[in-house]
Amino acid sequence: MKLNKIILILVLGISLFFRIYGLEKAPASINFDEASLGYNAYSLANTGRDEYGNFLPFSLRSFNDFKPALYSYVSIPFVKILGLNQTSTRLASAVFGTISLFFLYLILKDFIAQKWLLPIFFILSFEPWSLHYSRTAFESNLSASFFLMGMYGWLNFGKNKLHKFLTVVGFLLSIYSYHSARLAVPLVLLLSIFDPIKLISEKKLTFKYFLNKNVISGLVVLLVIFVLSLPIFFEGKNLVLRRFEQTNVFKQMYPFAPNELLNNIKNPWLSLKSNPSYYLLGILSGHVFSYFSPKNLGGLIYDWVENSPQVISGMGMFEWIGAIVFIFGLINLLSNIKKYSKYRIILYWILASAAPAVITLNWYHPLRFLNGYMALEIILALGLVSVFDYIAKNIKNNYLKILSFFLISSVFVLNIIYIINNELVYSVWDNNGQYQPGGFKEGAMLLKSLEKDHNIIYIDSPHAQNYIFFWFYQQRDPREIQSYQNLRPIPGKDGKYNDGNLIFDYGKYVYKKYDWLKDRNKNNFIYWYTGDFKEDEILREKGTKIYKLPNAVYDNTVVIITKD
Amino acid sequence: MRKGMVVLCLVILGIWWWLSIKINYPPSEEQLTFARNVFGLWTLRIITFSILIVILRLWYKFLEEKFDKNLAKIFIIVLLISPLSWVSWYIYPLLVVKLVFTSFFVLSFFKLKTKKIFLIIAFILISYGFNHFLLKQNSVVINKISLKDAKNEVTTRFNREDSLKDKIDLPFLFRRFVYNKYYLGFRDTISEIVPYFDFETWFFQEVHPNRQKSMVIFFWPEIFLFFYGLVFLKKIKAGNFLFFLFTLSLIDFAMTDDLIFKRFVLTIIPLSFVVSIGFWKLAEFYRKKFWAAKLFLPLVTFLVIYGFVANVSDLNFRPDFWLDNRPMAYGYFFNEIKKSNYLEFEKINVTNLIGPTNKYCEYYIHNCDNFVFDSFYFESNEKKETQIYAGFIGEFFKRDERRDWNKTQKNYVESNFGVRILGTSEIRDNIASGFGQTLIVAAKNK
Repeated sequence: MKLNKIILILVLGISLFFRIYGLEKAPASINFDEASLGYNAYSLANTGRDEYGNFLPFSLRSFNDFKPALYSYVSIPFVKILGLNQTSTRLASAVFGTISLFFLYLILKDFIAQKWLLPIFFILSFEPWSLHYSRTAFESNLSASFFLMGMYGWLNFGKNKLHKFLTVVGFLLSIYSYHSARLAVPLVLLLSIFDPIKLISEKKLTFKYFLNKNVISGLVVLLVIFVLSLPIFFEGKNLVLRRFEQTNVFKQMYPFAPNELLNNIKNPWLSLKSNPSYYLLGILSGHVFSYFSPKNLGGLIYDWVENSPQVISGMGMFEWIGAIVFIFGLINLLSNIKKYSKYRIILYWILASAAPAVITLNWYHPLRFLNGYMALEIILALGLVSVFDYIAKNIKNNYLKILSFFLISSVFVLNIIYIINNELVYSVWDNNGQYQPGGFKEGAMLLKSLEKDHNIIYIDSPHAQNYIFFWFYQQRDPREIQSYQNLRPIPGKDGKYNDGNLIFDYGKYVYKKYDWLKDRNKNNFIYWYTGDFKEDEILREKGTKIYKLPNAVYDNTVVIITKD
Repeated sequence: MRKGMVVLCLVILGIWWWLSIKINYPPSEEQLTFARNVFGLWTLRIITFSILIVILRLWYKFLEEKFDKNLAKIFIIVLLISPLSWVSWYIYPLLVVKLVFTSFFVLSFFKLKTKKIFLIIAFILISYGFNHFLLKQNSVVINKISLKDAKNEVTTRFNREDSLKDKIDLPFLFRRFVYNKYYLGFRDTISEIVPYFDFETWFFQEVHPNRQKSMVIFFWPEIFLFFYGLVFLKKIKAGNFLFFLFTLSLIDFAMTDDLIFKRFVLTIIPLSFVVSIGFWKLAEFYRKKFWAAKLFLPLVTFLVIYGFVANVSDLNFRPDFWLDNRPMAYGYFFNEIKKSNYLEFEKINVTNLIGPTNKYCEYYIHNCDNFVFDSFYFESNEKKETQIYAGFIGEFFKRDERRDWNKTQKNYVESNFGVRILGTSEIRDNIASGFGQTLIVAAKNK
């Protein structure tokens, strides 16, 4: 028993190490959502207000996407201790990612035999998604950690007060951390309370089924969580609704059936041969089942998530073997689903986590489903148990049995080494220049040091909302930024270039296209520019200097041109 | 089989035959040899259809003996309504050959006491031989096992990581554990197998997220029956049998490099089996008067029937959307040439961009002496002979992947190249990349 605890601590320690090691270098530079979360943590820590000057908000207006603010609050201690940098911004995700592993272990104890528990837990701790999302500041990862805490409490709700406390606090904090949980939490509770799978196994539908102690205590929990989460629903609700309108499947994919089949039909809903309702139900079902599809879990990258921070370089959310073993776990789960309520709750957990993603436009969207991956990991664990049990029972020859376990263990250990190497080193090369704009990390402080000797700074950068990178890497005084709040584009309206980019001119910083021939006659300015330029043409002008800024891979990503 | 079941099968088959005749799809490449030399196209189709029916009958008998009569009946219905079964006998006879072989393999050997592992090894060898030597398909998995790609990737990954300016330095030995051709080869092989478990292609082709060109294998409501069927696998002790069937189909998937639905042809047997278990159990609960079964059985039955009707209707309305456009293009070219008194021309050029043009010519025209099968770049072709050109609009100009050929006026071809257009047609798919989707048959110097 003691040895088990030591191994558990060791596994958690190794997991934490690889989640926090080298956060300053991999991912190479910060993405703009991370920069926003980090800068707002810095702003809240120093002034109690976000970048717009809102006092202790529940949601950060950020890029008019109203991010739940909890991630930034949680990051405050790290930012205070380490200063504002990539590490301090990502640490909350790394720490909570590791804490969630501990809750996963506690849940797994109820599902798998002690002899397989630790090896399987070790394998699961390094599934690609788990490592990847813990090394980047994702508020959804924080939410998933709290959600898991809530699920652990909920699965053991009747045991003692601690579990009741964990249920309420876990789910509540999950709601305060990310939008998806606001739908997933009530849904998982409702599904578990009314247990529809058990209900359909009943011969007759009786009213008595809905009136019992468990249902009532479950509804009380739901009510408590609902009341305590009300403040967040009052803040920025119109914008959340607007975002939903932009992405919801009902509006965006109408009329659902192929258009060619509906030609010459005035009201598609009256079509007999290609009725939209058949296709809509198909799309919604497909959205749900896509999270069970090993092909998706094991590496297929859809267009709509490509080049985004949620993509794991060359891999799926699960490693390849895991994606296949998942099938055995699914069969194990479904075979026991009538017998054990905890198996049904795992399925409800997945369905509830998928719900926020299902009603949006995209088929398979890892980030929106992040609350559900731990449930999928439990299924994977059941699959591994099936495989291990099969070997233990069916291979009679002891040497062959040991050899089989040795081979399987070796494969998983090698997979873990590959995953770590891929995430910590190779992904820096592979994802470079996509969501990680180079040059800001390297040049922002230099720009700040040059700023005081020049009247104006022209910025020409292809990255949307790039002001946040300057603020982040320059650790710009939040009071100064808050004073610009009246200059910021209004939510729902376009920014300076009418392209949805929210950049705006502030202080000495002016956004404009690079035009050296026109600007060379001016004096006392700086250019921050990404693109081709003629070095000799610039240096021909008196008082000019060029600073070339490399990123992780390329020599020149950004160039700073100064003219006295 | 009871009378009702026979009638239901006949209705389904009647619908498929009606659709087949209505579409009148030209011969596919694999039908050409048999259809030209030995049988006519429709005779070939009748033969492949009959073979498939015999095989289904054998499966019915087997499942009836091993499991349950009703389960066997449902299995046959589920298979029959699958558009993949239809397209197998209608267009791809070699898929039927595969089904026949595998069915005999399973049905004959399953009762033997031979260890399954030996059967699987035998199947791997036969499958490799069939796909590699007969169908000339190079299995991606076999390529990966050869470790050639893996060897290159080791160097690439080391180089890329070492080129990073500011990186985390992991110990060389740590990296070397996985950056070697054996591990990467293993990784590549497994990652080629993962796409086999493709719920989107198995069940959601009607609403596929990537608009993948493929046939529907199962209608989407059947995924609910599939999941429901999985619940009862252990109970009816079908796990091992199913595992065996899935393994065989996975081997075939790994050994092929073809259109995605063709790679899944053997998978329809185990999948249909699980779907059938789901339906069978639901019907059982329906008979026992469970309230949920009374609600869901009619609902899911209605949705599956609706899916079948909607898909047949769609296939009838848009055969070019679902089926391979290449035989259609050849059908168009040669039928137009036939109408044009082609014997009076000195030379007839037919594009070979999309397949074995000579075989199609022999099928449609029989005597192809003055035919040239090649892609033609028209501007360089200034000969004075009387000629017919049958090809894509881009062949009259020059290959250009970025050009929007739709905007190129057909009469521009007529006025600038001195040809008389005998016929044009638009096809749906971009089967000759960079040459447009307009088919043109034109005559020169006559």
